[in-house]
Amino acid sequence: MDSNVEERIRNVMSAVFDMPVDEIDEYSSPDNIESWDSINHMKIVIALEEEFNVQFTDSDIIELINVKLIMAVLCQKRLGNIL
Amino acid sequence: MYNPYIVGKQIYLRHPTEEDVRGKWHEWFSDEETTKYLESRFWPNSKESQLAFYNSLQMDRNKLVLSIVMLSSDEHFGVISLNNINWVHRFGDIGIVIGEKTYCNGVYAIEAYSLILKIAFLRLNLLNVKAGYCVANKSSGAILELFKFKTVGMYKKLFMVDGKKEDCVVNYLDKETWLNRNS
Repeated sequence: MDSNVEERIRNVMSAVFDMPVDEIDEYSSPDNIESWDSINHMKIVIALEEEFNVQFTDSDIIELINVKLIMAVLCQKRLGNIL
Repeated sequence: MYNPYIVGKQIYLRHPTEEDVRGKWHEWFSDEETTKYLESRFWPNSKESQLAFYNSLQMDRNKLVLSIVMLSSDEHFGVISLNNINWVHRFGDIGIVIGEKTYCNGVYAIEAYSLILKIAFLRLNLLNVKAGYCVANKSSGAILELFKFKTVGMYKKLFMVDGKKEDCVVNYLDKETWLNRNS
């Protein structure tokens, strides 16, 4: 189930950053994706909200900076069991 | 960490110190790229003028200016502010400068916004935060959209940027919307 969530997150990031899914790992972040700026961060947040039908708080938004952390935030929102 | 006003995940905000101003602060406001969309770019800048500005802050209760500092290193790399605070109608204008280019990827600005919005609505009890940005400044637009600011209008060809007239987009975020998202 987690791998499915991870795959969906990576697909979202792949679409936003216009890069192959297999180049995105759980630690891909603003530190190693050059095009990760405020505009693409906004696109990721909006795309994730649509993909997982959630609304992120301000605190969530600043956490969404790699696949692992995105998964953690989604789990915190207790979505893990219904995804 | 020195004298934190609010602490986030990667950064904290604190009252500026004279050392901040004597450091790189005044250089940021002379940098063409950093000040591209700031009104301050039209006038000569110096350490003395920034110190005068810093001194003016001490008694100014209509303006909250905070230094943005890395939690991990205590490096001061930017400034965020609430300006023109109106205590009757309870609104203020938000502004930010990320001076150190290492931190310009947007992630730190986003965290600084999240912290100052918390201050605006919970500590200062403001009811609205306003923001205007030049339409060409797409990064600012993205951050405001991220925090669900509403666009309420546009001044056509208000700004002169690089010799070209640019529109100014007017936005605001009300406390109720913010609370609904963050409660």
